[in-house]
This record gives sequence, structure tokens and C-alpha cells, in this order.
Amino acid sequence: MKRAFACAAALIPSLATASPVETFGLLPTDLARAGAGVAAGDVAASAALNPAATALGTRPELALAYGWQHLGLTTRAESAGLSDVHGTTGALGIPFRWGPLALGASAALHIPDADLLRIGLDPPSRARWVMFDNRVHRFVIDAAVSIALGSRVSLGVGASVLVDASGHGIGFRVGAAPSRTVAEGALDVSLPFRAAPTVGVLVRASDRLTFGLRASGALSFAVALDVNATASVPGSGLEGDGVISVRGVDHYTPAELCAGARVAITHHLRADAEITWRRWSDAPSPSSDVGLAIQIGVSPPTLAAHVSAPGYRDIVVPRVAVELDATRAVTLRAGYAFTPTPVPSQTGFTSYADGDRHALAAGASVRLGALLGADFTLDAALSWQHVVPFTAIKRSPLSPGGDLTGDGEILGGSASVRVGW
Amino acid sequence: MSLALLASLLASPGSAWASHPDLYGLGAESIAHAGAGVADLSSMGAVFTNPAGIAFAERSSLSLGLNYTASALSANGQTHALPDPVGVTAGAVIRFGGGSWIARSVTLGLGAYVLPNTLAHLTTGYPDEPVFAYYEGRTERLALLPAIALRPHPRVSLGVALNLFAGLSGPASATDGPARAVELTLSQQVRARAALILGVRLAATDHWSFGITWRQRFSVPYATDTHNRVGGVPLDISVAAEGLATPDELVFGARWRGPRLGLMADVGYARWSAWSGPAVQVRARISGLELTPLSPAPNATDAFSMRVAGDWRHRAMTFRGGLGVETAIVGEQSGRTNLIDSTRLIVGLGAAYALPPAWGVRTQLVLGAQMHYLAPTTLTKRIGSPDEAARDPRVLADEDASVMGVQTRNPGYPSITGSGAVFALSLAWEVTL
Repeated sequence: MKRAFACAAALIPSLATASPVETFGLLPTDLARAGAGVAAGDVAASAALNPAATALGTRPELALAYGWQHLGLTTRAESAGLSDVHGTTGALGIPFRWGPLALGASAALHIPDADLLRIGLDPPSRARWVMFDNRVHRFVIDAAVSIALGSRVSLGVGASVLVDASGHGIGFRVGAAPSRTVAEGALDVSLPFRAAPTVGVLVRASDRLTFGLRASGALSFAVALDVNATASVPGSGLEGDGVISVRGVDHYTPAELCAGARVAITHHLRADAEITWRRWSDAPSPSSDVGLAIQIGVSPPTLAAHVSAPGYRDIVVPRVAVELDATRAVTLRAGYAFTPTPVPSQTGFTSYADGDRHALAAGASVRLGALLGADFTLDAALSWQHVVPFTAIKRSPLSPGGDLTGDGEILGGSASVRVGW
Repeated sequence: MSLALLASLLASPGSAWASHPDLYGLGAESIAHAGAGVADLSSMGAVFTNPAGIAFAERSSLSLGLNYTASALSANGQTHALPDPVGVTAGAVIRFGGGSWIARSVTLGLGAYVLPNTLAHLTTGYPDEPVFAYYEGRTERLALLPAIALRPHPRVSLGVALNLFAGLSGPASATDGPARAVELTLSQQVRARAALILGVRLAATDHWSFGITWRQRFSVPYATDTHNRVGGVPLDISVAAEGLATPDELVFGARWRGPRLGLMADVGYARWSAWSGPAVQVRARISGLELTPLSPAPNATDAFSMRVAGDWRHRAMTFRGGLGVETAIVGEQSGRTNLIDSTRLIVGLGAAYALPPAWGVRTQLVLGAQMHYLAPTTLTKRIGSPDEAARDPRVLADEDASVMGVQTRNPGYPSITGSGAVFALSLAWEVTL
């Protein structure tokens, strides 16, 4: 078979951002608090909110939730066409004793309805909502263990898991052989694990005051794949070998440090306040590096692509929330958070859309009491995130698409069943 | 349950993603029993063997084990190693405390096989590459099996488990951008896939139990449609692949258990004839020229298996062993493909040691080992003209009739002989709560 050239696009992700849990919360209880919960001592949500919470819990808890977020975002006065975010979440926290030790184990799992993971690449000049396009569409797996130091302090460690894509890549043979056409392929793709560590501390300073601290590492989905192609197509002028090397990072979640406190103002009223620092400045290039090695007899008028780092800023996210036991069976919650955008003004070649966000949320829990030997509780929450309108005036009048503008509203809710036994 | 998983349960086309438990069983106890246990197993391994079995667990338990797999397979003198030999098995059986209906009737289970560094490793070679079809490219993935069992009557239980994983698909394009750089646009979705494992178990008497398990074939494809224009040349390529196949399986089992001795037997059927093969399907259009060759058929055949096993308890020790035989999953390979398999003999051995209780918690160490022996099999090629090869996938073409002798690059010409053995070892620590 003569040697020739053919190629195909390979997996190339672009920059990614937060997980759906980080953006929208894990369960209705923390969604209603606008994401605050590092000092709440939530046993079921411990793996995501504070790994230390479970060891100080009094009973195991299992929660199953379903949530939906509608992304009503616009770019240049037109709908951005983003997919809604919806899926099922399960969370389990089990405090237990082993001899003299008070321990806890917890796990949280979020499974999107449509896609476990969305990998997307767009040309760097194309406008896209970097925090919301494909990057809130992924599975989340968190697990943690904790140990109590006495009756008021606990420590916890955990991890959040994702994967990379690597391996020898994809190979093609395309062309002609006696009596038949040839189009064959081979794959060697690995999905190695990546994990970001999480450490948590919970301190019950008194019966009315609790402090919480959580630190987590950065997490991302990295792709390193090659496409090797060999083809001979008589009459097409294509003959040769080609290698396209693709390297990139997607679903980047920055390292963060969160500190908070919960105060029992009265026996029925509690308030949470917390502040989270996110290290977006470490975010890698938002587009992939493409390397080309092509020999097809004529040189293709193409260049290898490389886009520089995005220059994201570190941000600080404040959250406040209140919780009121309205009756013996009903608890009401409300919360507010402000998330500044880490994306600098897009006045150059790239068009990464994102703006500051104000979030308001509210929810309720209804305790149904004992049923089949377990205590059941229904939780529900609604949230609204307002993206502050922004405008980026391009330095070059020839910039593809022109000046970048954007705004929008994100509306959503979540409901769950929680079981304690 | 997510809507995508529900949809995949209702319609699951194509072939499947196998895993380590599909070949050897889940956990050291199942490995030692040569994979038998449909009517016996009640520990974590039952979530794969027969989910109904976990309802017969007396207490909750946790299990954590280390697995190692080694290959002594060879074809025409070339060894075929199995990648990713090390894996971790973990799982739990959860009984609810108290005297409620839930506590008496409902049991939860979870089993997992995890590669230590990798979620999955998908390898699919070119169609003519020699492959031990039952073993290569079938176990290198995470296996996650949540299960629930219901015991409406003390002697009857029903169980269901989900075999969870994912597939990848989506469009892509590559064009010359405004800065003369290649601009790639790609949208790939990793979608959840699930298959059912259904089981029933009947404790007919205090000594005799019977069980049935059905495992659904599991389809997890990789598919990408690419549309490219590079150097002014239009080039469209569509790729589809299905690796790590598992067919529909039905297994019947019976068990007799006395105070110390237990004996069990399983008979199974696996519908391999519906398997489309491991090859990557490629369709290409280059400058308007269509390249859509026929994919070589794997000549897969249904497989039957029989396994017998037993265990004997003496004080703190339990000794286990098992024997099994399974027919080949592919027939003659006289054409382009070189899928190697033959009747396999399965031998399992193992033991468990109950450690002294610590802080009121009972633990035990469990060891299991299993060997698969493949009898030698020879695949002989049938040479024909290019026209004959174009019509009949069982014929290999002489690629240049103008030269004396047969001209072919197929590595299986004139014949290929494969045989060997595969070994699986598992050491686990189990905690009874």
C-alpha cells in the first residue's frame, strides 16, 4: 500500500472551570445557604463541604437529591445557547466508633443526566462562557474520612477524583489495497486518575459557636494524545504520513481555602458566614497546544497552534446564610454569595465570557419523622444567580466577532430525601 | 437515577465493556471458587455473581483486596502480556440495624474493581493483529456495581445490581484558521452506560440453595465524526469502536452446605454470537472519494461453562477450591482476523483465616488464586483471489497475484497457533460489622 496522508481531529479540550458542585452546591441544604456550609456540620454532605464533619455526627445519614439549573446567559445580545445543568446527587455520611476512636466516613457522587463528562474545544477567538459551557457538565466523586479529637474537634481528609486522557492515541490507515478499500483504525487511550486532596477541620468552640476550615487542591482533566495517520488514496494527491499531537487541559478547578463560622443566635436561629479564596492565577492555557508533523508531498499552509496563559485572577468569595427552625418539623434557610469573575477583560484575541455573580437562595426542610425504622426529611431549595453585565472593547477593530458583551440569569432548584438511622 | 442511565437500561445496543470480575469473579472468595457461587455467595462478591445473595448475609461487612493478574499466553512464539495487572477490589454489604421491615428485608451492596492509577485503558488494534479475544483488552477498567436485594420471605431473595460505566461520542472538525493555524473544534460527550445484573436465590431447605443470574450485555461505544479541511483538502473520517466486550449471560447454580462442608455447581451460557468484534470501524471521505470497507466479522460463537467448587471450614480456617471449563468464544479465523481462543480449563484455590476479634470487630484474611489454561489452537488461513476475498470474509487475499507465491502482510498467514495460561491472585481483608 502506498503511503499517503490523512488526519483526523483528536481530543483537544480547552480551559475548564469549576465543577457543578462548586458552582451550584451538593444538596438543597447547602444550595439554600448559597453554598455556605463549612461550619454547618452536615454529615451527609461532609465529603464535599468539610471532611471533618462526619466524626462529630450522631448518626448515619444518606441523602438523594435531584437538581436543575437553567443557564439564561447571553453573548453579544444573543442567547449563548448553553445547556441546562441537571443531575442526581447522592451523599452518605457514617459516623462510627472503633473501640475508643470516634471516626467517620463520607462520600458524595454527582451524576449528570446527559453526559458524565463534556470535553469541548473551540478556537480561542470564539466567544464562550468559560465557567458554564461544558465545564459544569461532569461527574463529581468526593470521598473523605475523619477522626474526632475529643468531643469538640475533628479532622478530616478526603479527595475529589477526575481523570486525564493519554496513551499512544489513535492510528489510521486509509487508502486502497487489491480488491478493497482500506479504512482501519487502532486505539490506545488511557484515562488515568487525577485526585485533588481536601483537608478539613471542625471546631465546636462552644454550644453556640462552631468554626470550620477546608483546603482543597487544584483538579483538572489533561489530554495528551497523538493521532498517527497513514494513507494512500490514488487520484486524490494525498500520500504520506501525518502526526497531530494535542496537549491541553480541561475542567480546571482551582485550589481553594475556605474558612467559616456558624453561630446559634438563639435556640432556633443560626447564622453562617464564610469566605473562600480561589487560586485562579494558576490556571493553564485555555486552549490546547497543537503540534503538526505532516509529510504529504506538498506542504500544507498551516501552522502549529499555541495560545498563551489566560492571566486569570485569584478571587475571594464571601457567603452568608441564616437558618430558622420555624416549627419542630420545619426549618427555613436563606443565603447570599458574591462571586467575582477571575477572567480579565477580554480586549485581545481571546473572548472568554464571564462576569461577577450575585447569588440569592432560599429553601426549607420538612422532617417527616420515623418511617420503616428510619427518620426521613424532605429538603428543597431555589436559587438565583445574576451575572453582572460586562463589556470588553477589543483593541483591534479586526478582532473576530467584535467587542465582547455578556450578562444573564441562572435559575434553579434542588430537592432531596434525607434518611437518618 | 439519572435519565441517561435509565434510558441505557431500556435500550443497550452493541457489545459491551467487560471487566476483571467478568473473567475471574469479584473478590478473593469468588476467585478461589473458580467463579462459581450463584447459589452460595453472600459477601461482597455476590453483587456480581448473584445480587440476590447479599440478602442472606447475616451482618454488614466491608472488604478491601489487592489483585494481580499475569499472562503466559503466546501466539507463534510471541508472548501476549496483559496490561494493568494490578487492581484493587473493594466493597460492602450493608444490613440495616433494628427490627424494622427494612432491617429484615432490604440489603444494600457495593462492589468495585479499581485499577490503581487508571479509570480505564481502551486498546483496540488493527483488524489483522493477533489477539487473545477472551483476555486482551477486556479487563482494564473500573467496575462499579451498586446492588440492592429484597428478601420478602426467609427462603427467597431477589437482587439487582447495576454495571456502570461510560462511552464517548461527538463531532470534531479541523480547519485552517484566520491566523493560518489549525483550528480545532470538538465536542465530545462521555455518557453514562449501565447494564443490569438480576438474580434470584431460593433456600429450598436448610442445606440446599438454588440461584439464577442474568447479566445484560453492556454497550459502551467510542464514536467520533470528524470533518476536516487541511491544506485545502477536504477529509472526513468517522470512527467507531467497541472494546471490552461482555455478552448477555445466564447462569444457574446449586449449592449444598453442611456444618463444615459446602459444595456448589454453576452452569452458564454466554451469547457471544451477537458480538460485533473488537475492530475499530472507520469510514472516510477524501476529496469526495468514499472509503467504507466492510468490517471483518469476528466469527464469534456462543459459549457454555460449567464450574464446581467447594469449601471446608476447620476452626479459624476455611479452605476453598474450584474447577471449571468454558468453551471458546470464537470459531475459525481463516480470513483477515486473528482472534485466538479455545476451550479453557479453570482452576481455583484459596483460603480464609479468621483473625482474633479486635474491639468487638471480626476480621479475616482471604486469599484466592485462579488459573485459566487454554488448550493449543491453530488458526489456518484460506487464500483466495482478491475478488473472492472481497465477497467472503473467511478468505484472505493474495495482494499481488503478479508475484509468485502468496503476498500478504497478515501476521496470521499461513497459520497461527496460540495457547497458554492466565493467572489471577487476590488477597483481601474483610471486616464484619
